[in-house]
Amino acid sequence: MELNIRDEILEAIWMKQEQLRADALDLLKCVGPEATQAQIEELVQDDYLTRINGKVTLSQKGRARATTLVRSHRLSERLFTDVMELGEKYLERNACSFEHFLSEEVLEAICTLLGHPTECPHGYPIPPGECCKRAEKNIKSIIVPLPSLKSGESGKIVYVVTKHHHRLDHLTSLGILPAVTVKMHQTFPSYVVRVGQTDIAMDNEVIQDIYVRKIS
Amino acid sequence: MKIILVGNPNVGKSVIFGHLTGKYVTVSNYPGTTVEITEGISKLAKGQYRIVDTAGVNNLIPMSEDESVTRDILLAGDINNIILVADAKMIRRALFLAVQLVEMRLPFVIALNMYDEIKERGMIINSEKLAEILGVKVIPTVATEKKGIASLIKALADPAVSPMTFAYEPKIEFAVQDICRLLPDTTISKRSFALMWLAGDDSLAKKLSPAQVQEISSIRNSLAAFYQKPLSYLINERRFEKVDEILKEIIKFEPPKRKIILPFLGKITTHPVWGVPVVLAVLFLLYEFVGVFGAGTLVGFMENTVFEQYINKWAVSAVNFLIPWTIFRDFFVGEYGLITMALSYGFAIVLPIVGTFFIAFSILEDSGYLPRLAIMVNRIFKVMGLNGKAVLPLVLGLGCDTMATMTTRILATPKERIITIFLLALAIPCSAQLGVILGMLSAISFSATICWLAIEIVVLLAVGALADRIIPGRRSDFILEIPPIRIPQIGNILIKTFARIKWYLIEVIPLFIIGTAILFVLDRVHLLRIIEYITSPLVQDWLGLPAKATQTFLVGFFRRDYGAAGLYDLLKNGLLNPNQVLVSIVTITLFVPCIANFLMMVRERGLKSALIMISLIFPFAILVGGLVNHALQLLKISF
Ligand SMILES: Nc1nc2c(ncn2[C@@H]2O[C@H](COP(=O)(O)OP(=O)(O)O)[C@@H](O)[C@H]2O)c(=O)[nH]1
Ligand SMILES: [Zn+2]
Ligand SMILES: [Zn+2]
Ligand SMILES: [Zn+2]
Repeated sequence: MELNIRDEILEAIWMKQEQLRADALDLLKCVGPEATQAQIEELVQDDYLTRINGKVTLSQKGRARATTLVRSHRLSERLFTDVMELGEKYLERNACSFEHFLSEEVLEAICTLLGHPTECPHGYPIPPGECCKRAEKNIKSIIVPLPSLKSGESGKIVYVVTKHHHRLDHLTSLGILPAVTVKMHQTFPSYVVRVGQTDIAMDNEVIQDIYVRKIS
Repeated sequence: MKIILVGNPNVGKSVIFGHLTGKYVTVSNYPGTTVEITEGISKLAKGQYRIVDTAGVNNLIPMSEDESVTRDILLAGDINNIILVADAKMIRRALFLAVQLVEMRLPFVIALNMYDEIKERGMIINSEKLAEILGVKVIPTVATEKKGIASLIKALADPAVSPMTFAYEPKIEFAVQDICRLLPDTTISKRSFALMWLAGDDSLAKKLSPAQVQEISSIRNSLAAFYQKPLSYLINERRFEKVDEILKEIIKFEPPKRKIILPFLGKITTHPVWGVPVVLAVLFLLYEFVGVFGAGTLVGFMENTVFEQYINKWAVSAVNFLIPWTIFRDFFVGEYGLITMALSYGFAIVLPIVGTFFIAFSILEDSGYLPRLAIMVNRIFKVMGLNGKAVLPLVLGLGCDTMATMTTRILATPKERIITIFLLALAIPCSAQLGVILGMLSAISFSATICWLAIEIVVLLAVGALADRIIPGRRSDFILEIPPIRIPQIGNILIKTFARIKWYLIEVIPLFIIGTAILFVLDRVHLLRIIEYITSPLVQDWLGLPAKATQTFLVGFFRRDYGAAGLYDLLKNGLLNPNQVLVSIVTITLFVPCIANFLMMVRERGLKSALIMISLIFPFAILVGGLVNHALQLLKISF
């Protein structure tokens, strides 16, 4: 257990440095109040953390470890939602206990299975691993961008990743949301997909933001 | 007391509105065409009500300025009841609106419209069960056959607010409670207001003190910090979750009863290969009906028989009998006479062409072909900074640029509207002009027609691409719902055509008359000669046209087709050789839009933009015309 708490501290600092809007220390809730000053000192001694101007930050070694941890946390979340279809409430608890035991090989296997996702279900980026870099260009995976479906094929939406709020709201209002089944009707001259009983035509730019799990 | 119609785009609101009020509003099978709010009076069981039709929306949280209209109406209060019009086959999206009405604690009934279209798809909706879950009335209707309307009217009599509730994540719920404490009482529930605010719509801000606004914003921001996904997404996601929960209980599928022909048509019209001949076939039929039948047969009949043999003769003798002064006689029946020019052009040339075009356009619109055309042309339109949706105004522009300019409101961004309005004014000839132009071109040669068409298309694409670079702003996403192919109803087509023709007569014929009157005066005071003289270097040297052509360009401002018709006269009198015909036609197609179109541009985009556009168009048309003239001379081409 001791080790886990140390891991969580590293993870939390990493996320804090990731400059996300979320207060990273909140994520220490996995650990509880036990995260003490003593453990931080210990981490400094083991060269996971360094102190610069009195502020604690990750050392090179600590950063590497933390990146792996965050990666495995977020990949676990993806695994739980996309493949096992577990609900939100199981996510955090299980991902938190899972991440510490995953070996690099298992992690790569999961990552590959999921198609090297770039975001966790909450929308945070997943640090890429070696496998992602190797497989930069398409390895056949079960989660694919919607436009890669051939006409006649169907898929279940897994996530919609877009930087444009407006686009996301537009798609959402049309009912394009995770867990919805879409069928590709045609891909040229524009994409036409069927969602429920509605046919929706879309541009390239829009449709590539939608990722699906192919249904055979 | 008001009854409000709300619903997704293209679900049949207008048809139902028509049944309730007996008033006709544009019914069209193209999502997003109801842009203006329409009101009517209806006498229902318990007295008179104002019925308000709203623009179709997919979400009551507005995604843009234009979509906020519907929300504002819901917030305005004094609502007796709401009819949520649902397209039964897309009930999921209607229920997404329903759960929002539930949250607002507004009374509503659901008109489960297009009930005829779900059976053929093998979909069964348990509407009683839905009514039970929601606690409001649910009435299946087939608006186009007037089925269910009587029950709907009965159901309106006692408004009911749905007692249903559902919760969001605890974190969101806490934030909602915090915000609710700060909100004043409004016409809709505070809870729904708080949710709207969280989703990014802070329209209530102006009613609160800055301190309160700040407090709410900070609640919102700290909540947002927990999620990478926007709050609006999380809220929408939860609402759809609720909807899906409901759907599970009310919908069943059985193997669909196949209706082969219409879905098949729907498929080939967007097919990457077969779609193209379909486009060509549609254009050909359009040409045959409007160009040959309308502009040829009907115009010939109206002009040669009705006007020349009867009306003009009667008018001349009547005027001669009634008015002793020549100058006043000329005002009515002279060269620029009210009857001989304005009315005979207006009714004999323009009306048959525009009328047949409007019929054809209504058929295209109601059949559901236009959105499919949008799919076909989207890629090309992207070159011009537009997307496929702009196909509706541009095709309508082939009928009447003025009306088309008005419909650019269906486009999502100001940039797209400006580009479309500009292209309409510059390069899209309206049907009346087109009729005359095609008539003239066919009198010369087929290759001249192709040449003209090629110049048009190049100009359209080049100017569009340039405008895309210059005009700031962005193109909207191309996300367009494709309605099913339907067999157009003759009744609706006739009503719609008449409504458009009526609009045309009221808006445009007076401008004919004014335009003619101005020409009459210009002619009397010899100003026409003077303008001809001043511009003759431009017209004679640069464009290589006879001086008399100036007049037709001038006339062209009052009606583009007037101008074209003037050229036609020159051609008939042997004053133009084939090359000159091509040059003059290219020039006049590009030339400034007619006065009606100009006024509409001012209305839609303001005087300044309209003047800028005109001052670009005028030299550009002369430039291109001259280039064609010199190119033909240099290359020694003659048609
Ligand atoms: N099959 C069928 N078509 C309908 C029904 N109600 C409306 N329509 C058609 O649906 C299209 C859209 O109708 P409209 O009233 O313009 O929808 P709005 O945009 O919601 O006002 C038109 O082509 C109508 O003729 C219906 O109950 N059944
Ligand atoms: Zn963790
Ligand atoms: Zn996560
Ligand atoms: Zn990977």
